[in-house]
Amino acid sequence: MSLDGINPELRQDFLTESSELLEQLDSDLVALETAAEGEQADRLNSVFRALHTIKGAASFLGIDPLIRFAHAAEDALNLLRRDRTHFTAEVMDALLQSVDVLRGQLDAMGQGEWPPEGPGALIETLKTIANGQPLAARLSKLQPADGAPGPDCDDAGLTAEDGDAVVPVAVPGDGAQAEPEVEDEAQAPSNGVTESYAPSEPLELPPQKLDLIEFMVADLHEQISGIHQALTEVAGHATRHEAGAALAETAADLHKTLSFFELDGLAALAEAVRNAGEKLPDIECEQVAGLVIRIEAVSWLIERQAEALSERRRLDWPLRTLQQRIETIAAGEQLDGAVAGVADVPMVLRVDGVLGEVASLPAEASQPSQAAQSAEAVEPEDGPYSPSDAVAGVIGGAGGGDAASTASPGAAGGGGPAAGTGNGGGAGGGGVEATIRVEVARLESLLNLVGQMVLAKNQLMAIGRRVAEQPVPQDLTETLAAANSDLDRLTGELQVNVMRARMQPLSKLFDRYPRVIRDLARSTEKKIRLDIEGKQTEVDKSVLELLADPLIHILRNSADHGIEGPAERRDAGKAEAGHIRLVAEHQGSHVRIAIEDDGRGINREVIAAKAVEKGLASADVVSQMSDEDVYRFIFAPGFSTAAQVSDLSGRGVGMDVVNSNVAKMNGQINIASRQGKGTTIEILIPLTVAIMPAMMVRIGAHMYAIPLQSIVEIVRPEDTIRGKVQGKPVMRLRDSVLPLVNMRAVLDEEGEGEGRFAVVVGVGGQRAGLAVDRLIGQQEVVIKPLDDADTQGGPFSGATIREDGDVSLILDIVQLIRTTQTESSASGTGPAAAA
Amino acid sequence: MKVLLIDDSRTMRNIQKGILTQLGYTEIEEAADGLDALSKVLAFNPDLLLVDWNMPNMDGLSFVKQYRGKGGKAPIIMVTTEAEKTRVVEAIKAGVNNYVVKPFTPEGLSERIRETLDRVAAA
Repeated sequence: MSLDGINPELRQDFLTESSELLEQLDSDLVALETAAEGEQADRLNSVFRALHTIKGAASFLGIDPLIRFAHAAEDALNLLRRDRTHFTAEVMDALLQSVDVLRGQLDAMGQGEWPPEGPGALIETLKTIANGQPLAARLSKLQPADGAPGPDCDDAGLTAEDGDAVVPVAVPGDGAQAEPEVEDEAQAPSNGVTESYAPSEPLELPPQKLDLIEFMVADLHEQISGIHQALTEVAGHATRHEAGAALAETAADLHKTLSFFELDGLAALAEAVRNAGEKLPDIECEQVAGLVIRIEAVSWLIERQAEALSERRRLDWPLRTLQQRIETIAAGEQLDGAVAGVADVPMVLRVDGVLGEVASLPAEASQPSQAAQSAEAVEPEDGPYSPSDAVAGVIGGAGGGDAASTASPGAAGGGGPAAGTGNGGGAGGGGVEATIRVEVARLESLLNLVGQMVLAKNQLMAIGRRVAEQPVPQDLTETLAAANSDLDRLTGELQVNVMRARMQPLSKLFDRYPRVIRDLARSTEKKIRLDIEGKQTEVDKSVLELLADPLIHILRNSADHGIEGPAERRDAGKAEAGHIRLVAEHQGSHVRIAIEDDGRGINREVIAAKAVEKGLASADVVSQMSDEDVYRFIFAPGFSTAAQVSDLSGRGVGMDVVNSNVAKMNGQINIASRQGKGTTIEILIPLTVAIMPAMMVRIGAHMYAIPLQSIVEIVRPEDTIRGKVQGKPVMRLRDSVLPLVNMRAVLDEEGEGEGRFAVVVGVGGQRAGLAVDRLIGQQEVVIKPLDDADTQGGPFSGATIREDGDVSLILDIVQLIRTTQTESSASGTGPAAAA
Repeated sequence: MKVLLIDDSRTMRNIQKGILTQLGYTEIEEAADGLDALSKVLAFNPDLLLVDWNMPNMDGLSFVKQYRGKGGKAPIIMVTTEAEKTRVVEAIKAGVNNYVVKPFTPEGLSERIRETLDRVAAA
């Protein structure tokens, strides 16, 4: 199989949507574990919907490995939806792993490969969950002593939910003779499977209505899931009223849609369902089950018709009896006993004469639970899921109401003839689009153009200033100045807007972390609570990408090394559950991201010893370093202090990505830690990274750019405030003494005397003065990355094109200050000392 | 046969009116937007409504929702542009019976009207 047959755009849409849904799944699943009782149902439904949507779309595209795996996961989830007592950490593990498997499959597709089959072991686990022991218990509870349908509405609801599941398809009249081979036959790609549902005829509609079919098919499926949703709520006494109202509303929409397409039989059914929905609160408990199963049957019919719609065909079923029976129940009247007791959709369809008449009901049909049980015994033997499971189901169904319990809505919804036709797919079901998806590459090129435009504008401004100094008529220079200032303002706004288009909320990253922490806590047997604040804070897309690895490493480190085990915490008088806070907020022109934990804190001595051992610094140097600088060693390449290396962190690989990525963003890292109290790691990133304001300075023969954000102030150091400490140049600035870096020496520039100006720069709490020769002025610079090979060791973070068209290097202040610090504590090596 | 024409553009109304007259519909009431239409629709009690989508004060979709919400049963043909076509799904759920894309020919509109009325008659 290959992906070649799939329309690339459709495939991309599918991948994008599914990835988003997977994120959603991940966070919902994690939240589910800790959610309050009342919230669980919502979360579960949300999880289920997400999975179901992925599967449905995959069926459209005919991506079988994905469908099969999603189906297994869905089955397991289905059980949980019915019976939440099954929630165990093991089940959650399996479900979360399933999300990973799906993600892997999607990744493969993203690479243009056919996705691999899901791992057999996990599928087995999922099946075990889906057929879990407690399920059997539930079924036996369902079975009343006298074998009659349960009088309890809750039970009715449960039965109903079974119905939203597999709806075996009966080929009218030959279900009983069907042989197992039918399964293989049905697996053949959609060769008129629709035909087998019912006699069909070409759909004759005016062209403007045919035009809408693609939208409507998607919309119909959506509305059907609305019906399913409402039906699951019908079970509860408390929610029955609302569920009825929701049912009525969705059915009303369905009625309008169906009648627009002149599908009058189904439209009438929808109308009957609407009416029943309105009457639901008044309907006797005993009748609810019979109603719900019939509404499920209606849903199933509509879904088949929706699929047939994409083939421009109208399915022709005898629907009168079904409609009448729904009306009867809605009117508060009783159905005949045997007819009322039918508890699965295929049986309803036959009993109500939709899929061929049955003279008498099979014995099992009036004992739904037994039928379900027998089906359950059969199910585990089933082969991998295929869209044709539904068809295969009939065969079992002929023997006696097949497996409502093993059912999955997807079998009815996603599979079927639509698979392989590949049209329509996730095409939007209408609605106003408030957002559009844009390829990142387009935004990149837009930003690039704006960057170049800023440069061109800068040059124009420079020309304007030069012209003003020339003997030209004043009105000319004034007009030019006015035009230039307009251009300046507009370019600025354009730049801001383009930047904004690239902004994305940090939630894109943050939403993954509860899962990460949850897994970590489980594998390390710790208790960890993760609080996330400010995840709506937006940052540039490039920042988001660069932050992904650092944050995950810091978080893992906090959870793995920072937070102690429950026993250790108890002994230390702390709460057993460790607490990690992940906070994002705007701070001026920066975004601040902090990871705070209340763990054991960083041990300076341990880090220092390790740093010396690894040869990262000499013992002398380390002993003079500030705590924070010692802590920074944890971000040094190859540095790991964990006594025991866990599989999650502590391999010494990774933490250095924190340093390198943050440097790429012109960001800063601050570390604060208190022994036994916890650690806070703070990352400060400029809001935008591609264009930034800088101070242009002349050093020797060249101009350099100093990022404005790092500049604290600029002074003209008189001789009186210059001095030397331990033979190294320093400057006095009010009450403090700062190292003064002779930039000419550092940059190997020619020149006489000492720099006339000192640009005081700061990173975190550290300050230094940079001696430069001339100040040129403030400019917006567009950062062009430098090839690492060219800048190896050099204190540059990039290059930019100046107003006059020449190239300037941008000074890397973080590195400059770091060099100063190490030099001022080491004795006498390095360029500054040589100067 | 009474028709209510709802469109904010007088020109559009005149065009539609011309077509309707040609088709033999003479009892025509006009409304300039959804609000105007709401105030007229009950008294006029039309057999057919032609509703433009984009209008000030109250757009066609909101009007249809309100009209149907008040129990109005007369068939509605929505007049849309090609660009609004993807939204017709919404309109259908609001209770629109048919739609016609601007610009339309007299034949096109008359065909839509015939279709719509035929279906109503059949129901």
